[in-house]
Amino acid sequence: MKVLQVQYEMRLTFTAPAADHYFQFRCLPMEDDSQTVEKLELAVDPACAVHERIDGFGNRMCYGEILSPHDSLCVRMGARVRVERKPVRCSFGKRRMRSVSIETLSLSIAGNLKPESEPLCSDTAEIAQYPLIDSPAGKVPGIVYAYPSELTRPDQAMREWLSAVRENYNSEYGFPEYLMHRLYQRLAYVQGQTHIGTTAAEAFALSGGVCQDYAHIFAAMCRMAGFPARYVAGMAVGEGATHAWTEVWQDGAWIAYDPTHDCVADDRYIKLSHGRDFIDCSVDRGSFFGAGGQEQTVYVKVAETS
Amino acid sequence: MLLDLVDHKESINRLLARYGVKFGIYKNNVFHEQLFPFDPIPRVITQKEFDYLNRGLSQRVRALNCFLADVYSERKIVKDGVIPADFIYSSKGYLPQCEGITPPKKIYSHISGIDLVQGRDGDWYILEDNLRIPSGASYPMIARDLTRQAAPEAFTRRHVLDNRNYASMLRETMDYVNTGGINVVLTPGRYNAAFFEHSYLAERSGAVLCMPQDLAVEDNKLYYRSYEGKKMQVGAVYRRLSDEYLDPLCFLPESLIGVPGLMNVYASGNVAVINAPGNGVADDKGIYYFVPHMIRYYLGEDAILKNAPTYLAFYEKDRSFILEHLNRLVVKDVSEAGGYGVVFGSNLSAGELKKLADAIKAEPRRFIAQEVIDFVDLMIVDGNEQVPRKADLRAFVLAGEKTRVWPSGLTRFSRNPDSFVVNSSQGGGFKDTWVLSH
Repeated sequence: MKVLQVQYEMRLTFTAPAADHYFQFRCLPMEDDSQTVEKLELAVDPACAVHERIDGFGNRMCYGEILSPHDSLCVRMGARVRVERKPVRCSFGKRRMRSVSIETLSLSIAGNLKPESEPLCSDTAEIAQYPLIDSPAGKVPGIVYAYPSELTRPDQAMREWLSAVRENYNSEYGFPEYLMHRLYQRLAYVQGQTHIGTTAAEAFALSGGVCQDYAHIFAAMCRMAGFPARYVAGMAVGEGATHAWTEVWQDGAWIAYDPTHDCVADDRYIKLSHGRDFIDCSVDRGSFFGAGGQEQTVYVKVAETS
Repeated sequence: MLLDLVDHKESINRLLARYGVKFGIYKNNVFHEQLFPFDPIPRVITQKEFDYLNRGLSQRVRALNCFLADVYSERKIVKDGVIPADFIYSSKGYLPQCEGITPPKKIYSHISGIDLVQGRDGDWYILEDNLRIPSGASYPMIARDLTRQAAPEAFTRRHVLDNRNYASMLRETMDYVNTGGINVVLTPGRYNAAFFEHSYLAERSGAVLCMPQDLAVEDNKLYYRSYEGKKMQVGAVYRRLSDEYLDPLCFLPESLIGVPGLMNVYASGNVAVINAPGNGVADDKGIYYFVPHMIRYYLGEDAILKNAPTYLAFYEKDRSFILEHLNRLVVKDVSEAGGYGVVFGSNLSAGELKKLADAIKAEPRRFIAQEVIDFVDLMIVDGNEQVPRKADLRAFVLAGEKTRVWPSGLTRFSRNPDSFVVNSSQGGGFKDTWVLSH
């Protein structure tokens, strides 16, 4: 268990006044089984009415508008969040997720490890569907994350790479973990070559990108391999910006993997939202009328308080 | 019979052209407006037959509304194993953004366009459900109006139910779900295929015709800003803009049309959107197969109107049947609309059949196959003679306090003697549909 103090600040500055500005934020920490929000503050400048609702994916969303001309928009969020990711329960009582640190995974996975006893799901139709349907009414059922989405539609190169990985799969690790590790070896963290609209297939062809691309590619691969997977937007200790990772439906639970760092997301991660891909989780989204340009700066700080 | 109307073909078509009754289509990315050819011989439906259709169609739409409410909340029909989850959640029409939103009065499909044909055996068969933004009601409305002007005597001798009440039915439908404020018809603009209809329906129903830029969200409510700058709250939007363009903050971020924030207002229950976003999940050609099951599941009744015999490539048994009888079936790609992606096996060469079979085997979920229904021909005027052509009927079912069928409908026919495809986007024509009062 950890108690994290988080700060998020987004400032949008216009070179010429903007008007009819509609904004929508998913920047509040999610309240779920593993996160308790103990304190929360939100400020918007210029001051305006801010409404809140839960979107279809179950994310908290704040929205509002500033109709009169303004030069900047600043949103500030501060929160204290208790994070306690439960030891992952598996529904069939066969396998337990290990808490894997980066060091252990960096050890070679090859070697004389025993083959996976459970067959892989090759087709989403074979997935035990009931638990994926039985999510709370009004929130998307887990099965939605079994299908490709706009930014995670795989291409031939990804399919071929995955089938090669599956052929060589011979590990004590569950397949998603193994897959993450192989992907980590395949990709390089490179800033600037991808943008927010880059698809998993494009980033895969470039052999790298930033956390968003890692999370997309990993989600796309997991879905192809028969594991529903969702994109997660959040923040983590030590990251100077918002972060993204992936949750994979495995043995009846969502397990959080951070493919950018090749590890399991632990209590130092704060989840803001989840969805099929980045589009569903955009931390901020907006539209305005203005004759000038815009500049955006984002400041994120996550610190442990205990 | 009805010969008195034949002479008016030219004059009515001329009037339709003058009133701008056009249909726009995009071909090779170029927008063309074309006249929607009108045939003066109406389809005639007796009162008894209409009663039967009314019961069957209302039943179907009631079940479809139950289905939509269920899909976006408790999804009992999936949990009870009536419809495989795959058919719902892998459908393009399923919009996860709509989960948990309860539309005013829990109505999802306010205006449904159900396409059906009458077989030679006299039985009616449902071809497809259109629950998003079905168009076409304006054509028989205005054609009736013009025919009455051109040949008033034709109506004094025959007992035809007036179909000009569509406007008031539409208005009642909007008023019933209106959350407080005016009714508007939201059109993407004059380059839309059905712009004539948007303006006509707005005028007739007393709603305000507006473009996306005329609407704006303020403090979680929707307002109409008139040309003079007057601001009025909107309680119901009959939008003729497809879901993905409705709100750039919720759907396609790159959409330049649409009303930013509209979905938030709608989700908060502060405006009715007609029809509800996300309805595409229920008029998917794959879901069509399950509609009779829905009727039994939600209403505990047997379906009054039949589906055309349909096979789902998704089911292995059906798939082998389809592959075996490919040359006599009509195969439909579930992701296409407007008569596109419809293939008659009998028209294909051996090579094309093989290609289609491979496509079905590769992506079975994408295809359904149906028996070709030998549906009745209706006579149309062609030069100086009358010739038989295939025709279907789009019935309009309006769901408000009650669910009822408009006593008319759009009868579309194929101008090509060998074609079964009657869609206006494929160059077909239309007829008025008369429902007799006895």
